[in-house]
Amino acid sequence: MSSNFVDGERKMKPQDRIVTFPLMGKKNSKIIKDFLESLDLKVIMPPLTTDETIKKGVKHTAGMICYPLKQTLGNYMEALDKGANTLLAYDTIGLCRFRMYNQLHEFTLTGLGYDFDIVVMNPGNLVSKLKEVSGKNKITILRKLYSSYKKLKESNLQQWSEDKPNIGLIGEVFCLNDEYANQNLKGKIRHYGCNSFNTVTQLDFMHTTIPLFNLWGLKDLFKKDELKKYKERAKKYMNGWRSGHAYENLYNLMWLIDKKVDGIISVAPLSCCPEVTIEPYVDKICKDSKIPLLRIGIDENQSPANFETRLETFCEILKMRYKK
Amino acid sequence: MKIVYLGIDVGSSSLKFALMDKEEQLVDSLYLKNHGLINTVKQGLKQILNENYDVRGVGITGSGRKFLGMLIGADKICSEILAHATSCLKYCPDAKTIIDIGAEDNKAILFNDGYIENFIMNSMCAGGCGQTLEMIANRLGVQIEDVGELACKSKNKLNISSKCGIFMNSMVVSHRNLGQSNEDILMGVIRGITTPLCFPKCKCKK
Repeated sequence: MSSNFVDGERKMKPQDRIVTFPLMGKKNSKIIKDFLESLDLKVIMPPLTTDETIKKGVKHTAGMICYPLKQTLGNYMEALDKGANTLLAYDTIGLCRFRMYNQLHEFTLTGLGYDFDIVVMNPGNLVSKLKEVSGKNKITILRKLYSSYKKLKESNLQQWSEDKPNIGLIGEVFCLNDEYANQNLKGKIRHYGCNSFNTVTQLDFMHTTIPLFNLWGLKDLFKKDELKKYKERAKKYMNGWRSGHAYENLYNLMWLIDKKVDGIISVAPLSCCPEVTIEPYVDKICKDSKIPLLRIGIDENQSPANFETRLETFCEILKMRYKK
Repeated sequence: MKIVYLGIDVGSSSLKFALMDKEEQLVDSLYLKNHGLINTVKQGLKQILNENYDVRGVGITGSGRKFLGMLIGADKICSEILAHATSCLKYCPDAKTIIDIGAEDNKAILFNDGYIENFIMNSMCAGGCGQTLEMIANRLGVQIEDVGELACKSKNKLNISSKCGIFMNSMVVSHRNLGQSNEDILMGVIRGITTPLCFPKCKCKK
């Protein structure tokens, strides 16, 4: 591996790279994998998240750090064990702990003796970093990125139910989209006879944090932005996007309530800073409009029986109210 | 043969059995400590059932409901909150709040006009639940069955927070060393356990 170092900096050729990335939802991870493979990169997806993955992650992180870091660290370790040598990481340049994830990953994994190269992308250098990793030109990358974006848009379609109670999901993007982290929340809601509407999808995450994807959504811009007035109203509580999903959750919550949602479930990792910041606002908004609210804290110590008792009862209450 | 319906509450520390007849009257009931689910259920069924009963239906609730429901083929499986609420609305329709102190979770259920308005449960940690109360009672040399009666004799108000079972225990020790009576300590513990359920998110109605 030492041959990869030139002037103290690692210079790896695109054909030597074996790329990996942390999982976030089965469907979405598959789309990311297809995209990277379309750039002629060798990709090793981490094996599906299991208890073993979490154990590995928990062993090498601080106790009070948020849950997504533990799970993604476990994913990286399993992928590195399978032979990957390049980690792709993402940074939103926000103000929450997500910003130091890539540095913590690098620090921890180097300390554990792994040999790898970490590529940190952010909204500004997404395309140029991908160019560096894959060796393709920018136009090819943009074209492939656009087709993956369309696929993501299709997979993120959701419906508002007319004959079942609708449950609005707000919270943190990782915990809402990863089936392992939230113990298949959406599937369970469906099983208990309600319809879930997730307001924090990967697509929204990209729209709000990456200007490039915003540009592709330009044709939506000419349509009247449905959320515009809610964004203004949310300014009362918070002046604009800072980090995480605090601001988005506030305007999405108001939008859901105006849409006559039957219940709200807030999913966030324990000790998530942006979510803790807006907790009293969410409580107050829900209380004023008499919408039941269920909070689910995600951590590695979650017991399935506890989770199911809460969720089942919540869904049953909503069904009773809906009939009334 | 008498037609009966069997209800089982599979809790984490104890199992409760109840038999009900066609007129919805209680025929028999049984309370057993949980010493391993399968053995306790076997023992309980042997004790409560005999040849005179014809069981027409089984309903199961509690945290172990899914597992036991699968084992004995239950007709109805529902969570303990719904079971509490349904029975309370049937037998005591004017009730506004139910507080249930379980071994590993506490619940407060709030009613409005004959349906459940909201419910609140402890979050991930089970510190300050029934198990803690039992542990502290054992430490003071009091049986859990006698705690209620004893606590009602309390004269002084002690502040004991219920954020964590370990801290609660250490506060009990320090109060005991200062010479406070068992009655006051137990009442303080009960107050500590119930306060987070009533305040501030879920305003229980009197």
